[in-house]
Amino acid sequence: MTKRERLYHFAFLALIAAVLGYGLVTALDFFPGGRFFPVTATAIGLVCCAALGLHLLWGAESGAALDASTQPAEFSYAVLFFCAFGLYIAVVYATGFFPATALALLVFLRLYTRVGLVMTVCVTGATLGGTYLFGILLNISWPRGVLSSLV
Amino acid sequence: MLDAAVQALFIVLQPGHLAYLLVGVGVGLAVGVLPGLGGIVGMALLLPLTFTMDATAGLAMLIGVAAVITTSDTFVSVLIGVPGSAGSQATVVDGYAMAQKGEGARALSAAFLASMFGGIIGALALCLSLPVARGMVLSFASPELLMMSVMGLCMIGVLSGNAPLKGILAASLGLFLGTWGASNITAEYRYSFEMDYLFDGIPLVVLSLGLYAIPEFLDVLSRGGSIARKGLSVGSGWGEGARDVRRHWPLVVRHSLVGVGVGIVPGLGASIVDWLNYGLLVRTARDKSKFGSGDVRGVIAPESANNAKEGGALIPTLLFGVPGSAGMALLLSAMVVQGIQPGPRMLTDNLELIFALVWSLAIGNVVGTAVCFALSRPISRLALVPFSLLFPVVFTLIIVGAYQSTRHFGDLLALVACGILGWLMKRFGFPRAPLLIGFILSALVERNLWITLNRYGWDWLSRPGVLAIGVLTLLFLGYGLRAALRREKSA
Repeated sequence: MTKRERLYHFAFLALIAAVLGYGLVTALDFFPGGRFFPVTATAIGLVCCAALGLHLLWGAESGAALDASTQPAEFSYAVLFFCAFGLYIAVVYATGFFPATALALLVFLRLYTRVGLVMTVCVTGATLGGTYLFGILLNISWPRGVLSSLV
Repeated sequence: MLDAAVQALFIVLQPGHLAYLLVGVGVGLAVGVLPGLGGIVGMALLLPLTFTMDATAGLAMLIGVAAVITTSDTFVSVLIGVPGSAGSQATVVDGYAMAQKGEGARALSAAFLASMFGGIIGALALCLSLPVARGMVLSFASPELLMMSVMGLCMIGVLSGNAPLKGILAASLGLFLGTWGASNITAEYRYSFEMDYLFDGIPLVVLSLGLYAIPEFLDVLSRGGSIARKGLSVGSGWGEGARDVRRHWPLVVRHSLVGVGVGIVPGLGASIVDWLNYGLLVRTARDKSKFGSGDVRGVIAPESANNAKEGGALIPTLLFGVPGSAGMALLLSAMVVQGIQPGPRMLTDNLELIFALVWSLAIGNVVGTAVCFALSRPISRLALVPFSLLFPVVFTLIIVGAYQSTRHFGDLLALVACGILGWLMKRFGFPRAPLLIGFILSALVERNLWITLNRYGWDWLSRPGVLAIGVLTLLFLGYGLRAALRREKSA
């Protein structure tokens, strides 16, 4: 494990420890009956965080989970993905599900994967049309945007 | 009981019900053939759709997915040597070797039939366990149910592969996240941050889609191109594979029963069932010379077991409300949303539903196998479709699926947050299944712990049922950890 990788591991552990620590401190103010369980769960988690932190400090290789076997995406790619996802949700909030999704699919297919214009329109249309029909059949609702009421 | 079984069969065979089961089978076949997506993603995508459906049809759809995942994942395991899911890792050893020798069709045929018989034996085991389990389960009180949940939590170490400490941390995080929202013990909201969205806690669908679908989706997208890069040649020998299964039928029965046993124990599940059976096969076979170089027995044994496991896994899920795997956790949550409380009362209040699930599992297996045989060539080409063309469908399903949880805009924000958590966990080798199981068991453990301590004090620890489950937990834990150590050693 490289030094940078170890640092990333520490940062992630610190993030979990901070969340659990906040949970523990907050749980102390709950009514007695509802306090015991979250206090116990967060305390166990914090002990594990400490043990894993020490494990990393000693330079030991940390084991990997069985479901972590596939190659994960690069950090920069993941950051970009989640930023784009956040932007998409902001557009959904503004315009509603269908316009935002149509825009997202057109941008993705046309600019990111460089699919031809006809194919892009067909795939986007088929996906949204299928979703709409499926939604009617199963009584599904879609997010409405703040601008949806104006249409 | 027989009346309930017959009535359930009539319900399952209704055209509408059968159609939903087939939709589940179709989705299961599609995601099973795409390595990286897997059964949990398929079930998580369909889960929100079941909320507005009839309970039996919705659950049958999810069972349809679970029934065929381990059948269709054989395509990629055999043809391109990449495990389609955790349960088909051992199939790669001999299956891929057979495909390289031009016997891909023989390996697939043997695997499909073994999977089908395994699935039917699993459904039969679930069915036969009901009269036996009935008396025992109905005598269970909150201490025994608490102990069963503790057993599920203890097995998390086994689910965690080489990272038991990370598994415990993930489980405690799941238990913690499960306490968010209205407390079921006291009249207060915990960790709601004054947001009405969090008054009912984080929706399970959003958490499961965030933990599983988003990270896999992101990783497949980052790799680019199609999921499989190599050509998939099915080869020949369909009839030979069927004859292999007939010749080795004792193997099918034996490994199916072992699969059922593994499925019953919460937490063992898919991660070890194939290797455990492959190891058992190699240890007990007279002629060991061909293992690893294309022995059809090396395909039959793990494939029988990994399908039979689903029937076994339904036993603790339905009768005790303790899910043994992430997939069963999703099924459990679908039942809860439908107003069905899994647990001992299922046997008195919802016996028909249990039988409907048994029939769905059996029919799903038979239909899935038939479809695999009939559409083997086009299905094997699905992994070669560029992901850019699959992206729109999967992406839309994730968004629409997440939004059906509470139909609140917060679902989408929570999806992003859970997606980031899921990806980070995957990136740093943290197992995600313990988090999901901890999340599901959180309310159950807290409620039963509260009732138990108030009703029995500390005397509950001396109840015979509690002691028996405690001893079983220790035995399974020891056995599971030994198997994990062996697996690590052999790897």
